[in-house]
Amino acid sequence: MTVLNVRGLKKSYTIRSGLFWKKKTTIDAVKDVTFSVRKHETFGLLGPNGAGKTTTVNILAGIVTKDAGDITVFGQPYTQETKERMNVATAYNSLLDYLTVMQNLRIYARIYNVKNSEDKIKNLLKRFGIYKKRHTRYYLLSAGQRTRVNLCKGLVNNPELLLLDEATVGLDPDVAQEVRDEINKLDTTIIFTTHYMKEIEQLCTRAAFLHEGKIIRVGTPQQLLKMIKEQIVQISFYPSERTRSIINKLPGKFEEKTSTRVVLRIPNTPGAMHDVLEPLMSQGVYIKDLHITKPSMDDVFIKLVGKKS
Amino acid sequence: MKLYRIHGLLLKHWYTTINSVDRILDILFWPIVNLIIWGFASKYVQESGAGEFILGVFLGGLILYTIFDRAQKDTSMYIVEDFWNKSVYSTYVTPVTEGELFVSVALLGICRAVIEFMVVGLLALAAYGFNIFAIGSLGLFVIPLFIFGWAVGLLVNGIIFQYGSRISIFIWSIPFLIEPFAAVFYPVSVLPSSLQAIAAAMPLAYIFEGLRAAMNGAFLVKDFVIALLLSIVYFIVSYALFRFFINRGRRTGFLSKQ
Repeated sequence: MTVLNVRGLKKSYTIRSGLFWKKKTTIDAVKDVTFSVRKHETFGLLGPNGAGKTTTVNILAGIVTKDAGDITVFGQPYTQETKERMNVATAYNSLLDYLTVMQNLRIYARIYNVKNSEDKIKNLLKRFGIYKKRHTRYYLLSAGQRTRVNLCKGLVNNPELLLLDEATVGLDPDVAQEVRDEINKLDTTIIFTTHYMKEIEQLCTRAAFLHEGKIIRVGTPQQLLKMIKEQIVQISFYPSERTRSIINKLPGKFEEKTSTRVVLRIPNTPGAMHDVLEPLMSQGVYIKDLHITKPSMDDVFIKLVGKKS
Repeated sequence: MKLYRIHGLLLKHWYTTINSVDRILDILFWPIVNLIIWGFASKYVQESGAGEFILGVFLGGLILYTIFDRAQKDTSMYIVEDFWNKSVYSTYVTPVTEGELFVSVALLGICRAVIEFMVVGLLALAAYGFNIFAIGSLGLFVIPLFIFGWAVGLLVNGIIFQYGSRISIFIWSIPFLIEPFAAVFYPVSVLPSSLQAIAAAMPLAYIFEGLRAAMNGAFLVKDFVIALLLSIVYFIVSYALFRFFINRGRRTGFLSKQ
């Protein structure tokens, strides 16, 4: 079942500069974005700065209006009322500074008409490990704690569609991982924007690469990784004539070759690694160290965006 | 329009009030300070031979003006609060509508204005023997007073939605700009003719003329009707502008960056 359908989304901003005779510059933030998200899918939107990720999310969140295109949510045209079944969390927004965590969350629970809101809020705070901070004023929280409170706010109405914009930006690696683990456990449809390619691999069932306001590729992380045709193998060994002759016959493209180490670029296919390791093992070459670099989303990003830039 | 969303917004305003000393004090502090200053000033003028009437003109005007002042400031402050907290994004991604936002601040303004009016009115009675509650026909003039207060508050909000919170000073300065034309403490006739023309376009001028007439036991029906109609017209225009500027903020991306 499709939860969200976006067709031909377009948005441009006009920037005016100058004091009296203002010069107008038009920036096309989103040129032509089309995608759909299925129920319980975690759909990633990624791309470099200015690619149009946040503008797309802001349009879906209803805080920026579109210039053109169609958005269907839960099978209905997007309206103010469909926002009842959605929610948004981003690292860039704030809640009311002088209110406590509980007070802030109670407000949103009421706005979304949440039943048993006190229990619901307390459970969320426990789940995100900030229950002890429930009576702390928002401005006294650390960046990590604020992010967690923002996520609690985003989940307070059990949204059927959750928009997460750079939800883990600025967090310490361990906190970011904890947040990712919690996001992974969520039983809802998520649209997720990030700069961190690792997050796409960890969290997303599908991802779309945006570049200059257009989607340039959509696929599962596995499909996207298949775009990278090679993997890299680094082998360290004790120097000897016999080893050198065996090494010289290895398949693949040599990136680096010294008397103790080779770096090989080999195809990213199931049998390729065997073809490299089998001659070494069968002829008793003592391998000091072996390091395999599998294709990552970083490589996909560089391949897609680097080529276009 | 959903009642639970208005309740949610009222909860927000309530928490903002109880967490902020100045929001509690501003209901009482300035009105009481003004009452003391104008009370003694008018008592002095009265004892100088100006007659009984002058005390009522000054204190009645002052007390009644607090209603307009409160309605206008609360309509602006509690909506602009999100700009000061950088929480505009969090509020405007919810299903809350402009109408619900307005109703919540209007209800809050009524509650706070009633508290302010009662406290200052009782204090004026106790300290100067001036009983504003005895001027029964004033009750009707409170209606255009609130409507015009909301209208000015919404207009200020619209300007802030266009230019950002750096021009929040308008929230406090607009009542001072309006006051000279409102004829709060003097009749419109003392103004120069050019300023009388401006006063004629101000609902407040009719309301305070009505107050002075009411103190003599008269009820100026015409002034009340003009004040009410003008207030409604200003309110409709301001609400349309408020909506226009919010939608413009959505169109230009301004709201998403606050």
